[in-house]
Amino acid sequence: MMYSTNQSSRRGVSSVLAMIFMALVASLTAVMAIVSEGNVRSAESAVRVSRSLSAAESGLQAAAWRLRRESSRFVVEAGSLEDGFGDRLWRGTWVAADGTIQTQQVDGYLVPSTSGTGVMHAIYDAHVWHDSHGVILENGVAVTALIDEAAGVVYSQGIAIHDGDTAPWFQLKYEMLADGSGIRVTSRGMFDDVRRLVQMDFMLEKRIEYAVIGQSRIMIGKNVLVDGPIGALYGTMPGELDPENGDPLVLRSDFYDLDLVTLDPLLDSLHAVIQVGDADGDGRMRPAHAGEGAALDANPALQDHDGDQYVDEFDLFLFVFDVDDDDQVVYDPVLAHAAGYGTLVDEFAVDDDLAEMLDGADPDRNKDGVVDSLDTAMGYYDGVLDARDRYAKIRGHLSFAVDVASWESARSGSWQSRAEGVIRPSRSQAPSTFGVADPQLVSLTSDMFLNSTNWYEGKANLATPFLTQVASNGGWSGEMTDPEAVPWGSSGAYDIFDRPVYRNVVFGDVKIPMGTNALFVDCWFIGVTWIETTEDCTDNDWNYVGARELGPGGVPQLRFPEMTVDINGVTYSDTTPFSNNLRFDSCTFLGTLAGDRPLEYTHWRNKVQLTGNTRFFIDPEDEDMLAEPDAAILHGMLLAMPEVNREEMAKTSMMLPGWSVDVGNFDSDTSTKVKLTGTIVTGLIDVRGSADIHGTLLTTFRPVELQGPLAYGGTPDAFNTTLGYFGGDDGDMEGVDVNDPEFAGFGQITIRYDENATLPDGIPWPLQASPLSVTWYEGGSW
Amino acid sequence: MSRRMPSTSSRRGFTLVETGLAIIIVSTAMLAMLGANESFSKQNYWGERAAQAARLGGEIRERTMVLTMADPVTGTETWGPEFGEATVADWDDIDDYDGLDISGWASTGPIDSAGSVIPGMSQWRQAVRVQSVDPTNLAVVVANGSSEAVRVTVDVYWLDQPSSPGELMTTVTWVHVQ
Repeated sequence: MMYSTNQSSRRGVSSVLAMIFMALVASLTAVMAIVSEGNVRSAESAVRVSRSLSAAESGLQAAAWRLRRESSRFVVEAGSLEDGFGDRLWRGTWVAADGTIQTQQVDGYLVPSTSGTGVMHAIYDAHVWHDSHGVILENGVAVTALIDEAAGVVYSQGIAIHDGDTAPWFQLKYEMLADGSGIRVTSRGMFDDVRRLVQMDFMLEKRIEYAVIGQSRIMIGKNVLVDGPIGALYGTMPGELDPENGDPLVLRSDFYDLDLVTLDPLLDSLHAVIQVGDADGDGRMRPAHAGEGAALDANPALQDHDGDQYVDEFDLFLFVFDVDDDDQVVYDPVLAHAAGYGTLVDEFAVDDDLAEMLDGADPDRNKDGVVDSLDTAMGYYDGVLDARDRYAKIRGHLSFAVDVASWESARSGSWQSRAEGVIRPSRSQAPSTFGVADPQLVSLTSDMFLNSTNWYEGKANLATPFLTQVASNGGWSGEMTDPEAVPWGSSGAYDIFDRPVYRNVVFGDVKIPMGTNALFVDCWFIGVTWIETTEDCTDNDWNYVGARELGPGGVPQLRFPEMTVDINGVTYSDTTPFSNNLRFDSCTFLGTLAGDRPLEYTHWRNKVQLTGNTRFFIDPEDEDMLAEPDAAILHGMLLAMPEVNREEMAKTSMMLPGWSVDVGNFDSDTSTKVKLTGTIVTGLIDVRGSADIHGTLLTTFRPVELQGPLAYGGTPDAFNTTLGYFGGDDGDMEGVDVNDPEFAGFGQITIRYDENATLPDGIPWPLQASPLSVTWYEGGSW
Repeated sequence: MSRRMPSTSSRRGFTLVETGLAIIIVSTAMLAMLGANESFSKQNYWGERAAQAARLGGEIRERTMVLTMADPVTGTETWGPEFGEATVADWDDIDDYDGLDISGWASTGPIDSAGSVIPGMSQWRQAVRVQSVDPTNLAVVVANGSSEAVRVTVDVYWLDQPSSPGELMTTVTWVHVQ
């Protein structure tokens, strides 16, 4: 018998198989170990990236806070940061031509020795002396704040975002952008050995982010829409909240006096509910909101008729005037037909001015930068009023210097008893904020505008004399007005003037001499129009000496015959020859109206009234201007001006700090609409009738009892920034009551904030560092 | 002629020993490898969960990044949700999120940056703390609402059981300055 060698081979296979099997399992285990380790490392890396990115993002937040605090300490006069001024401001190398730059004291810390005068130095010093973060070590070396003067770069110290040795941390790098317009911040977030960089630009700018800022009571009447924020400074001085002195803000509903039987009582009910239940202060009630909904439950007549999830005045208007119950109120069937609605029946003819204004609000509804048929398809100016018009009396937020408790305590009731109407703020803003202070809400005084008119006065000083220009236009005809009441058309006139009348004169740059006290009719003012007056008018009697009233038989007589005033040894029995009280009727201004700066508010003597179809244009491509019948002439004249002059005058239609200015008529003729652009500065301004203001209204006069025009009595509530219609009883006693036979309508006033407007030079205003979120970028250089 | 018999018996014995030894070695190796595999599996799970946790922390960060410290509707700086803000969908300022504790077991979370509950993540929990901190020293906690800076901390947990507090997988922290 032969034994094969199979046995020995089988023995070998068993061993080999075992070894192979072991090798396979070992390999798999090794692979698994590698994969597993890789997964762990990936996960740890993801965690480290997440933490370092969080640290870097935290750095940008901290930088925004630091920039806002430190940049607002720099109060500059220049209107823009162009021509290298931004860079000089950053480095502290500004020159006299850059205007005055005041650096406010640091807030909340001390700097024993400053590193320099620029914004970059302020940021560096703040990081060194204000911050008290723990020391961060990187590779054993402390990460400290640095300033590189030559490169214009500032580094913060390393800043941990929480305690502990292993906390993520960040370091900031600040540098001026190449064009000098802003600051680029790069934040280096660190956790373990992982670094993430994020960067964002902050625009350095000087901007007044309000449509209206008033030192005195702001009164916004019926048929007025404001597209932009409102800042009310009144109410913080002693006694200002006394009931007889008025309120920081009064808003009059647009919807009263349209239907006395049904609508007015409903509005009363809504306002009563708002005063007790409006949680967010926007003048609307939300049925779905726990608190506001409960307040509405007891008033079933108050319903959301337009389906926008709010109950507001517009719903009640819709309820009363929507006859066919289609959630629309037709006010212009022709317009509606043109917009594609077919044939509709007019449902609202009580106040077409109001309807047209509501329908034309917020023209660029799809926010594509142009107003066209797409916007009409979204409800713009389509002849019907509905939810798509998104009614708002104030399309912006309200900022009050006063705190709400003080105001409501003084009134023994809600502040909303004074403010009727819908407030629709931007998404990130509260409808109303109280206790707002500098730099968010800066107190304005006429002193701040000391140098703001320099450019305009310089042009006027080089102008051909007033009378020469009149003579070259055919001369003065000798025409005088009948004794004319001031304010013009008001039932509460306080002075009368016999005015020389200048008609159809075309002025270039011109200085109107003090004492002119004229009426200009259909005149054109091309360039700068400067109004001369006596600035030293602080004597309490200056305002009244020479004032007249109609006596027996309608004959003018002196109101205060015994009154004189002595200024620097000179006795004046009439101050009208040394002041300027002017009225411009249906005049065209292609430029800026500016003047000397009265040191006291003297509204009887230093007053400007703009009536009729008075127009202000400066932009050759202004769509409203191009719609004028004489657009070709206007366009040609504007193009003929040097561009640099146009740019300067576009900053303000009116620079009259300390003056009393009345804009518009006490009637409702919307075809005679006054148009103003830019930053409008006055002592006080009344805008009546029909006007459109695209820019910012600033008023400088703050009435104080027993001072200035109140020296002989009276209360501050007589001096208001009044915009739009108020009746004789609910306004400043100058308006015409709705039941008066002379009442001609409510008018139509729109005030639209221009976020792109540039301030005139000379207004000292704090810098702002505004984050440009579109510049956020992950990465960058370090 | 004599036949030479192969000495098979001694070879057979060696094979037995060899086989036994091989079994022991292989078994030991297998046990060790199985142990290692279990460990590696755990590491894998941890890695996967840690990455998920980092993501869930990031979701809260993205959701709250653009929020203000004061309520944008009322303008008030009430700590926590304002009256009428019942759910996360209503929360519109950063301190509304203080104390948020949501989990898949409770069907309240985890949420993404849009505030929607993320499906298929029932064993995850997000817990948020918001604390006021000194903006000049971010390591110092101050009384809530007394500062312009807040620190947001999100702890993300993995939960085996509904009643379990869970295993802390990661913490994401950032600072928000007004």
